[in-house]
Amino acid sequence: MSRLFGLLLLLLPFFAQAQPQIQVEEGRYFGQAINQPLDYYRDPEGRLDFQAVRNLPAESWQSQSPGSLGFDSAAHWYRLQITGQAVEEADWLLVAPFTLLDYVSVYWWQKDKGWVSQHSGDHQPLESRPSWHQRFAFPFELQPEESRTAYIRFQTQGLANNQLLLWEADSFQRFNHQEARWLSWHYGVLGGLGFFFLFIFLALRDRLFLYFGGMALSILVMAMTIAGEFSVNPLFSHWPGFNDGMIVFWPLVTTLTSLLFVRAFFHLKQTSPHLLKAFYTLLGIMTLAALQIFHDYALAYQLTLLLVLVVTPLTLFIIYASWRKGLRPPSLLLIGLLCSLLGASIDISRAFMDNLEPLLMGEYGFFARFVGRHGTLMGMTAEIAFFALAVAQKIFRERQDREKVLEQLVVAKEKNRQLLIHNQQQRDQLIREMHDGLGSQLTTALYAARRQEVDKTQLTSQLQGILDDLRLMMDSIQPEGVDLVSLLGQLRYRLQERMQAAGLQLQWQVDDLPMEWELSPQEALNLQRLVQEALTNIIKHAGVNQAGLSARIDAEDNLVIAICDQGHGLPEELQTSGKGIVNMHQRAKELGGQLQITRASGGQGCCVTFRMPAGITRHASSAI
Amino acid sequence: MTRQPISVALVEDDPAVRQRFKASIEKQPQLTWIGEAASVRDGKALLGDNCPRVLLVDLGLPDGSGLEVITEAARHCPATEVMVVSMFGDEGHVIQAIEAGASGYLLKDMDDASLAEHIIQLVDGGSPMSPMIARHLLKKMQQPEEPEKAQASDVSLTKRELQLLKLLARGYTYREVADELSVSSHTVNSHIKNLYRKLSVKTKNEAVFAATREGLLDMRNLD
Repeated sequence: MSRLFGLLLLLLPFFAQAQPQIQVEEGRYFGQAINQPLDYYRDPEGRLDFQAVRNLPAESWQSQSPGSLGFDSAAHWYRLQITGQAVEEADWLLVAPFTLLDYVSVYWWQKDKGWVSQHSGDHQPLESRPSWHQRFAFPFELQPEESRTAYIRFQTQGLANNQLLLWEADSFQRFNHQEARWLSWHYGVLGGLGFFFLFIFLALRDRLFLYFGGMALSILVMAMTIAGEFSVNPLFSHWPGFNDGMIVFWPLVTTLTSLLFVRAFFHLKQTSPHLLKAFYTLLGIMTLAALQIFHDYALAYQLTLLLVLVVTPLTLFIIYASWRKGLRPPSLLLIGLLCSLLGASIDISRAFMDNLEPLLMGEYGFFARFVGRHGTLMGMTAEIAFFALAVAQKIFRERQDREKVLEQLVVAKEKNRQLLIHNQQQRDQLIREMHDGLGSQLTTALYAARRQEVDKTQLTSQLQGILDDLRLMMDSIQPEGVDLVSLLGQLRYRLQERMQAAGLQLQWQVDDLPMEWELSPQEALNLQRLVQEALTNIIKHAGVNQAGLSARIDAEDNLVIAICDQGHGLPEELQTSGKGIVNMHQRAKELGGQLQITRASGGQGCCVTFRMPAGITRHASSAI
Repeated sequence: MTRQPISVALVEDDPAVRQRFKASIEKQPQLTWIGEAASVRDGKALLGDNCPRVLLVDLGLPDGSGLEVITEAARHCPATEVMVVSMFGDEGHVIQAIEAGASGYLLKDMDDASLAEHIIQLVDGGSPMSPMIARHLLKKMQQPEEPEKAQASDVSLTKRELQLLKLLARGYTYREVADELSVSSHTVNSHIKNLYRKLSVKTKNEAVFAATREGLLDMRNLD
């Protein structure tokens, strides 16, 4: 209904040949956009002052609604009449909502004071602006039934987005408070994440964190620039070119930080150096474009805007390429990028959102309004939040991998320790054998050799025995291991000559035992010594020239090695307390078996029987 | 029965051992001493001059391993029997040497008589096979053949050889083995000589196979 009314009002000036009248409306919580055609004059050089403009002939003025005119550094003049027929006495604002305008001035007619001027824009020091808001707002009073004429002048180097709004001061304040609160949430997320990751970088010194923090903070600064936060800063507002410079140069910083982040995240240097080169090239072109600022601001601005648009597709391509290379799909990064694209597209379609405004009337339409005005910022914030999640995920996965490796390391260390202990035991055993066996034998041989009347034959056989012992020891420490059956066989092979020399014939009866019964060097030595000692005892004490050795597995699944003779057997006292016998029992015990020495009832014959469970054997053979 | 004396050469860096071996071999009318060397280099040169019937090689030489000399002998003097001269008869080294082409080993502390006896026995029917070497052969030969090496079937064990190796590994003497298998000890000897050869062939086949797989050797260019 009000639209229709507005339309009627539009037609009015043509009949009246008067200035276009804009009627203020109450209850427009989000401002009342001036979409109607106004009187418009374009001053190409921007040199005319207010007086000259006011004196322009009527035909110089065109009819045009305020709005974006693209890049146009001319001065744009609008003339309108504001009426307040139905309005109570209230404070009103005329608002130029675009935050990046250089100069905005309003000239009001006041009954008693004549023409009054107000000057704003981001090239105006803050204290000389009529209001201190990011959006350039010009307060005026409107009595009921009063009508006011206003001239508005826009001039800017960048985008001449000459929108105009009429806004009730109370609603405007309320809107601004709410908007500032919402904005600060976004600033908080961006800044919080940015600083958090910078601090994490200081603690952990991982460049990825530095780049991510830098990216978040640079996006924060970009968002603040666009929202006009710096133009309402008392310090920066005294430096008129600051905002203009930021708009052109800061995208370089955000692109650089994004590049560094993406490079570190995907290890681009190793994975896709070509893409990295493309990114560097883009950065170089952007720098060249930004440097155009010194002779054509609008060109630099436009080129930068255009080039920034390339960054997102390039990043998307990097994600795709890394996915193709088999890296874990960084879905969180993808979601983040999509968020930023969505935000940007909302921002681009702001005109569409503006047209939706009538549907979103009332105080609850704020969210839609905010999204419409800050789509890019919201998208960027979501993007940074998702990127942070992606970084967290990456760290988590890396930690997981590292922990797995650490765990393996601990296991390996434990294994190593066990092995060392095991080796130590074996070394001790070997030392014992060398000390007690070879050492004492060598000492005996040495003393024998020192004697005046050396018995050459005895000495030779002593030394030969020592060498044979050494060979036996070598057999037990074979690098590729030794099994029980071959060890017995090898023992016979080594002792054969010595037993023949001693006049002993050995009946050999080793069954076809499984050959997978591996012995450790320690066990091998024990078994060798045990059998050797038994045979030596026969030679020394039995007084026979025949003996037998048998190895078999009995019905109870025991390995039984029996060394028997038909002789006198051992002297009584040796059987219980002889050093050799004690040693044999000890070795049998260490092998996990037991030793039995039995004498035949008639006193003829003696058997040394070693018995040990052969469970391992059966197990081993069933595995074959 | 008269036959040509067996020519013997020695590669050994210890002069005392060289001296002793030379003396005991020259004492034997069936053997003749044709040369000695103290290093890998000299050993190879010795082979270049004249192939002895029996070559005795020590593994620890000052300028390298005696294995190099054994490989050289296997290549240039296929008729030469190589024996490793070892201090302890430690199986690890002996097996390596056999795989390189040696057909037996001697202990350094052998007396003169058994030294000559061993050399003659080697020429007649092969070196004694200790239970551990028998076991190693069993393990090595029973590894499943890879399908690509089907042509290498002549190095797999026959049933008889398998029985023989198992008995030897359990400590039975040649004579006992011959009785058990109802063959002559001469047959046992020839089996053993054959087995030594198979071990070295199998090892060589494996090396060739591995080299082919690694792309070091192109079979098509091997003519």
